[in-house]
Amino acid sequence: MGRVYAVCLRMCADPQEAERLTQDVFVRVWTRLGTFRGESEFTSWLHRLTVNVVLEDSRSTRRRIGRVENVEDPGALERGGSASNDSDSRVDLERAIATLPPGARQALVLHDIEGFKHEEIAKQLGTAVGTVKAQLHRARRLLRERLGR
Amino acid sequence: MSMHLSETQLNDYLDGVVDAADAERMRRHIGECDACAREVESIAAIKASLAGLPREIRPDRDLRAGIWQQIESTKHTRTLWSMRYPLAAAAVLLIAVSSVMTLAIVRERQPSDIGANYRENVRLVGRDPGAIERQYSEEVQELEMVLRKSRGALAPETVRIMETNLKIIDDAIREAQAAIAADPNSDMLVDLLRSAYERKLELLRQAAESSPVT
Repeated sequence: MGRVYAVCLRMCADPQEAERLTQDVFVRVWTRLGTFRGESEFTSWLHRLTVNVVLEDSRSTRRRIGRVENVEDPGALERGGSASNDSDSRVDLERAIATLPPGARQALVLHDIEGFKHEEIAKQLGTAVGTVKAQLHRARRLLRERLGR
Repeated sequence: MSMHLSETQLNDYLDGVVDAADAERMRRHIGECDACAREVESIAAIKASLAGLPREIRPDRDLRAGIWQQIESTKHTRTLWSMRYPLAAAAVLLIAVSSVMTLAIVRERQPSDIGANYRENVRLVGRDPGAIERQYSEEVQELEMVLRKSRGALAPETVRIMETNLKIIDDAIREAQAAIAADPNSDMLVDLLRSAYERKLELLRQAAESSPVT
């Protein structure tokens, strides 16, 4: 559950939307379990399905731009992993990710956090590899600026 | 004075998506250019921070009740709901069964002993459960005959695993058939039945291919 929620939250930057999307993912799992062919691990299948659900939702609905001040529960971004000396910087990073423009945020989350390749992301987003890279590079630059790095 | 590397070049270099010659050229430049070296270090640091973020985030509340509520409200699952536990178990077991079975069969497989070259995974078409069952019956009879002939050549443990898992699939098939009888318009149930048939055929095919040539 936490894995799915993390992907949804970081890609949509809204805890309530992330909860709704997480539920949608598991309902989709229930209805599509018969299509799982066993070619890959179940976790990989679930991961790809999660990304597809989020991207379909962002294409079909009018999305709010994620801004820090619109995150009603900033604590939602903090409930990951265990407490450590880096927790403050991690929270800052999560909040900064939430402030990114949607396209840049999606490219960044899918590549730098979820580990998809440029080509895989381009296919998922229905766009060109060059566009994905441009969004990714822009996201990294914006994060560095906002975090003062 | 050499030009600085562009933002695209620096990011591509760090992502490892440049060819070896370009990578070497960039590496040499970064070693000689303080500005580019600082940029690379900064981008690398943000990448490392992102890669170090936790993979799981706990939702603020337990979402399971909402998930089951959504599933329950789906039009074709009202009848399914009354049988949810057996069918849910059957669906999950279908996945587990194929993994265990495949592992057992791969261990058995000797390249020189590969049996008849059976067709690729059978895909049963159509939405009529009766038509799907007829397709399935035709295919499974042939495969079961091959397996009967070669059963003695397989390791006892492999036979045991095969028989146990085929029984699980047969139970799932019976559950799905009973559910369809109660709710014949459910596409989801038809998909589950088809999946169970196809999974059984796939396992039988793998076992048959691993049997010694007769």
